Amino acid sequence: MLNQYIKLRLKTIYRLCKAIGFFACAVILTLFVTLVLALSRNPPYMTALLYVAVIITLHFSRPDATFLQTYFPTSFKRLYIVDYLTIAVPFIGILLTSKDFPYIGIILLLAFAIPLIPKKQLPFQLPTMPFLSDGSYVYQRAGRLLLPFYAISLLVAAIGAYIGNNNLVIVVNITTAATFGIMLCLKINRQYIFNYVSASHAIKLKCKHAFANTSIIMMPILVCLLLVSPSWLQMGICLSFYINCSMLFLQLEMLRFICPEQDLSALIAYIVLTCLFVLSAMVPIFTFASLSVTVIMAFRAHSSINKMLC
Amino acid sequence: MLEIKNLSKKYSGKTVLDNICYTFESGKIYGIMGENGAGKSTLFRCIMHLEKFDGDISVSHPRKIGYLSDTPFFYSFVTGMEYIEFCLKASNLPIDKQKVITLNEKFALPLERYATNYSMGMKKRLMIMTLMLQDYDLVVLDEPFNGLDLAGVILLKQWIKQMKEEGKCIILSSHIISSLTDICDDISYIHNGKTVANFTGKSANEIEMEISKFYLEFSQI
Repeated sequence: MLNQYIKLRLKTIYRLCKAIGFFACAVILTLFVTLVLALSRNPPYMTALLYVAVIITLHFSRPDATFLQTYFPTSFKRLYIVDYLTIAVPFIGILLTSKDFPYIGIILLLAFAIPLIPKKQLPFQLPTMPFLSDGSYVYQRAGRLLLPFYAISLLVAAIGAYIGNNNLVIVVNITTAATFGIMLCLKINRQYIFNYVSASHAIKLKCKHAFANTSIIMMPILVCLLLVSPSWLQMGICLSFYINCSMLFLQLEMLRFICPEQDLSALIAYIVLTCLFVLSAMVPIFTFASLSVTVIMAFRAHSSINKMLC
Repeated sequence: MLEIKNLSKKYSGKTVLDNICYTFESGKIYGIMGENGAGKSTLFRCIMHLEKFDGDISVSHPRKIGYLSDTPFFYSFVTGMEYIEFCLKASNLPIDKQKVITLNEKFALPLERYATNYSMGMKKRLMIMTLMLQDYDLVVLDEPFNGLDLAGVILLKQWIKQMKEEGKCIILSSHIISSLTDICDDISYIHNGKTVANFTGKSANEIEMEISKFYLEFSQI
């Protein structure tokens, strides 16, 4: 049973890599290694906290839960453990570099313990973030779904600010922006498009939503970044993160119209845009490149919406 | 075959199923109807032990129970054939490719393509075909007609009738009253988590009139 499941998952990963292509795989791997390196410089409990955030978010949003429970009624929890142990590998790798064996034990324990948590329906509807723009339903959905992840990200950012670890807060910034970004890549419902007066109005609204909502979502983390070492330079870095993150969200909203089928090209575009965001946030001169991409994408999206409206 | 005694289910204080009792026998087709949120899917999930519940659900002796969920799920980058193979292996059944191909002559599915790229109707047909290959004693079908195309509906009805002839038990839910009256031996109606009526032997028109008169807030539009 375990054998079949692992074989199936490995096959899907291999096919995903094959479909994305060598270049995109290399980019993802580079991003991944950079993240691992950045994390390895941080206290070990940060790594454990990040692992908890990832696993809990995955555990409570697994789309295959009913399927696995139907076909493996007595052993589906073992399959969850396989998944969570696989995800634990890079985290254990990070902790091995600093020989933090107790934390390795904690991570292993969590991989076995979290599948035992029953997936009960919550007695209330999860709230979304307050003050998000009215009508920006994709942001509100992302805010609701990512609430546990966001809470832990905020905690890690606050700890980063408290202990004065700039890298940690930057990593939290990037992972939060990238995670919210992927949640924005929802397939568009063509019927919704007809509610817009015009393509220009749609683009204008998307711009407003991107800049307003980024300030709500990212501001607490950016404040943590500023508090690491309050200075004008740090303020500049925060501003660069805010502008570039807003542009990333806007680009991803435009991408939904340019690639409405949400196929592999959309995934590759998402990866490229996220890389551009990281680059331009760290090296502000690249903000102009990001701005140019945003303008081009806005024009493409404008014509796509026009086509849908006609 | 399957007996449900005093089944209750609450979600955070809200009663979804209230003291439900049922007896399902072999060689019969049972239809369950009800509005959205009435508790049909929860009842099915309880039968499959996908949810915890109060009460008792007992099966006469070890039986294989199949389940068709209302929302299809397929892993990305897995072909239709691989999905079938995975499900058969999970059920400890041998994979007879020739049998799959022969059955697929009716279903006309592109089994070499990724299942996630199928249309809704094709996904539903793939799930039904996979169930058909597993030879269950009791099958629970949650809204099986939803999203199915004409050919799929015909195949599903034929399969359900065939299973009945083989002495198997089928429990299904649907919003389409005529689909249930066409094939079901017993039709019950769940309203606010309770079984409030049994429409066995009545026509679709009579059922419609009775539901709108006694259970829904509107009687005429």
